[in-house]
Amino acid sequence: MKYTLVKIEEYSGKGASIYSILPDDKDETLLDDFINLHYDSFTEEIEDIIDTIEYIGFEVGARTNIINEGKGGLYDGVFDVRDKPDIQLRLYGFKYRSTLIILGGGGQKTTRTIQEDPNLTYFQEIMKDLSKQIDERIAENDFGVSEDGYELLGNLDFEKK
Amino acid sequence: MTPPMKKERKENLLLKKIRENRDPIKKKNVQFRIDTACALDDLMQSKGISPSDLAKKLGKYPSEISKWLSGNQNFTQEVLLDIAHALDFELEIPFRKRADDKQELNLRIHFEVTINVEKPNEKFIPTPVTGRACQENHQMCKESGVSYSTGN
Repeated sequence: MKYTLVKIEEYSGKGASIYSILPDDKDETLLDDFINLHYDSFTEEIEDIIDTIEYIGFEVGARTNIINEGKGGLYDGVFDVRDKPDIQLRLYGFKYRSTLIILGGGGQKTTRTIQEDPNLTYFQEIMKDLSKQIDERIAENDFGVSEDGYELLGNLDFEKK
Repeated sequence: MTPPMKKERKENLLLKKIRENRDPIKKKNVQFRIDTACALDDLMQSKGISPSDLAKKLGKYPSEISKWLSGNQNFTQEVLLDIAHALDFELEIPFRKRADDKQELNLRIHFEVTINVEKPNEKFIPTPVTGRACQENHQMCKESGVSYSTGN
């Protein structure tokens, strides 16, 4: 899948800039897909997640206590936004510093482990892969962040093989 | 390094609708949960207390403390008081007037709550509470300020 990182303006503010993944063959991001796909079944949970993202973007930033970063065997910087334990909606993201968040896709956790769920594994793998590619590009000086820490700069086109 | 070329994302109409119709009280509840978690996290960090330390003090599992810090917890007053006590602090819940209260004139009582955790004095600090009920022609809902104290 080839994709570009795009800024989601309606979530971004003084707390953090929120980006998502826009596949080349689509005009909606993985985050949009996640919202559209699950809203009817998990209305309240999706609204809570939207409010959480918005508050992170507008106010509190990507604080480590709020974001479950690196837990459950996730790659460095990759986190999940989760809702109530009994619902267990998972939305995967990648945090870069406290001012930049890239949100991917997700879904409901219905299996005991993420590895047993091909859908969630897929979205988790996208973020792990992105995290690795960003590290490589930073090393090659092909990717960076604006001075104020809120804008991604450089080549924002990626491919998940 | 130059800013990247912008690729267009189609506006998400569902998201727009959700944001426009969101219940402000529910939204405030999410924000309040996050603010409470961040206040607790700040306090623990300032005192050098880890989630495991707090878990031991409260007889909880560390995973529960992590959940509290994640902003997903609807705290009860009892739990907040237990936390404050375990950290040798006291809990204060002031009610504040809404910043935009001119826009709200109906029978519902609107309030904002912030939680400040303050160092204890010798006695339990009286908790100042001010409330606002908004209905101009309703006697019970006139603007009021209330305060109470609890001896300890």
